[in-house]
Amino acid sequence: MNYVFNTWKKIFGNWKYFLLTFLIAFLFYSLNVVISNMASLIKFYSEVGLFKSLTLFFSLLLGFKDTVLLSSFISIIIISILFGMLVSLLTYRKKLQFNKINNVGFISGIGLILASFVPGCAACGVGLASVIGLSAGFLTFLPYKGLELSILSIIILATAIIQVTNKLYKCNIVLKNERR
Amino acid sequence: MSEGTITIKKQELWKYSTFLLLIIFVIEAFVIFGNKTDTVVVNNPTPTVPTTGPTEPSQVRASVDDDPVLGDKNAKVTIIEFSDYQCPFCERFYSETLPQIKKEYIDTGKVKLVYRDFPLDSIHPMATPAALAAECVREKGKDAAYFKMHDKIFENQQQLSESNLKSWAKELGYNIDDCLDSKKFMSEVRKDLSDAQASGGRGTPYFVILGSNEDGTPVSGAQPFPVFKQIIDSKLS
Repeated sequence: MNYVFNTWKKIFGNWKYFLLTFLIAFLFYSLNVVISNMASLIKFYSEVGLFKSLTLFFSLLLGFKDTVLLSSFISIIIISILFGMLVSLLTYRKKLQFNKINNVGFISGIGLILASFVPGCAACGVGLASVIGLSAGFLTFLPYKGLELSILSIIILATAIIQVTNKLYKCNIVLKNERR
Repeated sequence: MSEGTITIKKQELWKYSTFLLLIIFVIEAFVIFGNKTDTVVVNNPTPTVPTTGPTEPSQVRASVDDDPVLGDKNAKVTIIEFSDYQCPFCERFYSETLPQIKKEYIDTGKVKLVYRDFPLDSIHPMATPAALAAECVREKGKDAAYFKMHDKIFENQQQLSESNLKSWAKELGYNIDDCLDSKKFMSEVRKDLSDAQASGGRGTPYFVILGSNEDGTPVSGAQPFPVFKQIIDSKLS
C-alpha cells in the first residue's frame, strides 16, 4: 500500500497532474449540477444571456449541497475526486506510453455508470442518470435509497485507481521481461 | 504460467461479477418500471407521479389557480411553489430560504408566493393529509390562516399525524375534524399535483417563477437564497 501512496505522492506532487485531477473533479461535479438544473439554466440563459447565466451557474454550484442529502453530496465529492485521480493516472501512464491496462476502462466505466445514479433525494432527479430521463423514484425500492450504489461506485473507482497505480510499477518489470 | 492464469481469472471474476451486478440492476429497474408502468403510486384512489422525467418544456407554465397567496396579490413577480409537507427539502426551503425571500421581496410587495401541493405519497404518506388539513384551515380562516397552519406543519414536520394535524388546527382556533375526515379537498390537492407534473416538476420542492409574462423559470430543489435572488431580480428588472 505504501507503494501506491508513494506513486500518488510522486504523480500528484507534480502540479500538472494535481491541476488535471482538480479540473476533472470540478467538471464531473459541475456536470451533476448542470444536469440537475438544466431547465433553470436553459430558461435563464434564454431570458438574460450568458453572463447572468454564469453567475446563476456558480450560485447553483455553491448551493448544490443544500439540494441533496449530505450522504449524496459527500458521495459526489468523493466520486469526483476519484474520477479526477483516475483520469490523471491514466494520462500519466499514457504519457509514459505504457500498454493499456486490461479492464481498467471497463471497471471505471461501471463505476461511473453507478456514480451517475447518485441520488439527490428519493423524489428528485438522480444526478447524471436524469439525462436519460430517469428520476430517483426507483431508488425508493432500494433498502438504502441508492446510497448503496454510491458506495459501490466509490469502491469500484477506488479499485480501478489502485489497479492502475499498481500496474504503473509492475508494468515496468513485465515489459522488461517481455522484451527479453 | 499458472500464476498468470490465476491472475487473469481473478480479473475475469471481478469483471464478470461487476457486469452481473449491472445486469441485475438493469433488470431490476426494468421490472420496477414494467410493473409500475412508469409511475410511483401516490395513494389510493389517487393519480400518480411519473418516475421518468418529462421532457423539459420549452415554455414553463404554471397557474396560480385558486391556491393560497402569501404577499401582495398584485406583486410583479410570482413564485409558485409546488411542495410536499413531509419532504425534508421542502422544510429546508421553508426554514432557510423562505425567510430571506419573505424579508427582501414578499414583505416589500415585490413578490408573492403561491403555495401549491405536490404530495409524493409513495414516500411521504402524511403529505396528503397535511395538505388536506391546511386546505381545511384555509376554508375557515382564508389565506392568512392557511399560512399559519403551513408554518405549524413544517415546524413540526417530524410529528406529522392526523391527530396532530387536527390538534394544531384547534390551536389556531379551527376545528377541521370533519373536513379532514371527509377528505373534502382531495380533488384540489390532486389538481395541484397534476399541474406540478404538467409544468415539469419531477421532485419536491419545485418552483416556477413568473414575471410579467406567462412563461416562467423553473427551479428544482431547495436552492439557497442567491439562486432565487438572481432569478427574481431578473424578473423585476
